Amino acid sequence: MRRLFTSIEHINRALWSRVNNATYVNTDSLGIFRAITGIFLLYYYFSYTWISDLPQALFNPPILSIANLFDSFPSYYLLRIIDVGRLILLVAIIIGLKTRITSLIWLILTIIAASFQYSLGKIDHDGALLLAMVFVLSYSGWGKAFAVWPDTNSRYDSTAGSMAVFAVIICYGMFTAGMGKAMVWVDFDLQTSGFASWYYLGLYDLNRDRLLAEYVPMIPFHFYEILDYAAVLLELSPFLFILMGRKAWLFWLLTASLFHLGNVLLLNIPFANHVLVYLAFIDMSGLTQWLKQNKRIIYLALGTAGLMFLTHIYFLVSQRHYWGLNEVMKMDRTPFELYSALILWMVLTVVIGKIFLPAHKE
Amino acid sequence: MPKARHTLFLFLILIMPLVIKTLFGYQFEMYPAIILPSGPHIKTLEGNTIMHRNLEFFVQEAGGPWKQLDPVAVFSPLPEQYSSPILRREFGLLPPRTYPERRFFKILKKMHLLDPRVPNDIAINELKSWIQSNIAIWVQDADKIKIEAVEKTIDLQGNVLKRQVESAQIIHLH
Repeated sequence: MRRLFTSIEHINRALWSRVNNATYVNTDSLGIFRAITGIFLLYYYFSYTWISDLPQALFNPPILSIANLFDSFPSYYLLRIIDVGRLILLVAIIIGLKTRITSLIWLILTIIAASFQYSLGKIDHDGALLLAMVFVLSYSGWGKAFAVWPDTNSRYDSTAGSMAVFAVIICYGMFTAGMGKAMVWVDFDLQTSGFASWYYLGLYDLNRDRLLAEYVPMIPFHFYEILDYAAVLLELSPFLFILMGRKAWLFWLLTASLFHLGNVLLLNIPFANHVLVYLAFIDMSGLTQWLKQNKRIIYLALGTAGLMFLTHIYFLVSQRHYWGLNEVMKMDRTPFELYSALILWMVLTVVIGKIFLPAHKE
Repeated sequence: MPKARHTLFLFLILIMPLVIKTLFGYQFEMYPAIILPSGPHIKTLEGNTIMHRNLEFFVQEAGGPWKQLDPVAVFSPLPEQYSSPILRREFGLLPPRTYPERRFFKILKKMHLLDPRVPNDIAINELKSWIQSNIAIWVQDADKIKIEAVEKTIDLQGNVLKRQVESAQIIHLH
């Protein structure tokens, strides 16, 4: 029995060691990434107060969620407190004010607010990995570099461990998406298509007809089968790539970015949160020296964040409901998210793609 | 480096929500949980057409004709993805769901997590006023709304060739 446990421990250690090798980035890189995360979340920030004006008949919380402990949608003032709290915490995350605790409070507030949003009968899945990322990276030491008030060491802190666990969570998340598809989409039947199902559902139920969506019907139906298998393969394969090493993991991230870019263009599914999720694994420590020499870039980023913060505060104070920067730009939320995601996915694809250029040294 | 027991713990934490959802249905999906969208449905090509089912939304002024409205526009600025679930639940007016006498459901019932949410008269009136105000741009004083479950035959260019109503639910607003 002892030999069995020893060999299990041995295999376990060998697997985690491989995951560590593929996913490790240092705290300098994570410090930059933390600031980018805060700016990203500030860009997509919106107020949750609209929930309080919904009729109580629509209140249908997920049974296994915090919202199900309540009888109805929360009051305007509770949501307003959550809004202001989330906004201030984002600033703390960007500049690095005790980031572990501020990230965790932001996470709790977001989960509470989102639980009520999902009480309309649907849980949105694009935030799941983002929330996991904030939780896991809170213990990665991402609040140590480029921080006004850096985190002190906690006994749970582990940069390599956090990155490895987060990568495994991504692999598992992809598995949950890929397994269901694999059982239905991989049918070796050219007359059926899962891609077509997503496309026509989006087109007829959600008016997803932007960018290249109108050209999708020009693609021969049988070709969709290739897209189905490609999606299943991508979603079921990340763990294999991690075990193969860092280059392979980065290659998977590149492929995933292209997959999302395709989804934005053809299906109008933005999934922008995953830009951050994948970016976490890009080693940005090389930028440290460059940023120290080019402080203007830091001031520009902080200035942009400050401007967004002030804009949010102004609209939060002056309006009953605030839908985010799209409202400031006089745009609907859907195109705002779609076109933003298009740019972000293109940028991420280039950033990861450059790593594979012969002259590049990570 | 996580030990084997930590790995097992992580595995259980991750897989538990998926197991519960798979065994007991989508309404038992936990939040938060690591579950990404699978969408394992397919479309089947029949000749040069495919079938698509969706819900359509209509309003009617007293004595007037039914007028079709785009639910995404009606519920705007609510995020677009909630229009279908709201229609599917007939604005929360569907009778509460019943659950089989299995241990899992009994435990949840004891914890009051399966308590039925039946809107009272005040909640129903509030809902009707909300619907009226949302459709006011198109129809000033709607008498009824209708949710139709429709099966469409569409060609690959997206043209609707045939439209068949499978069921319809009418809600009176007065």
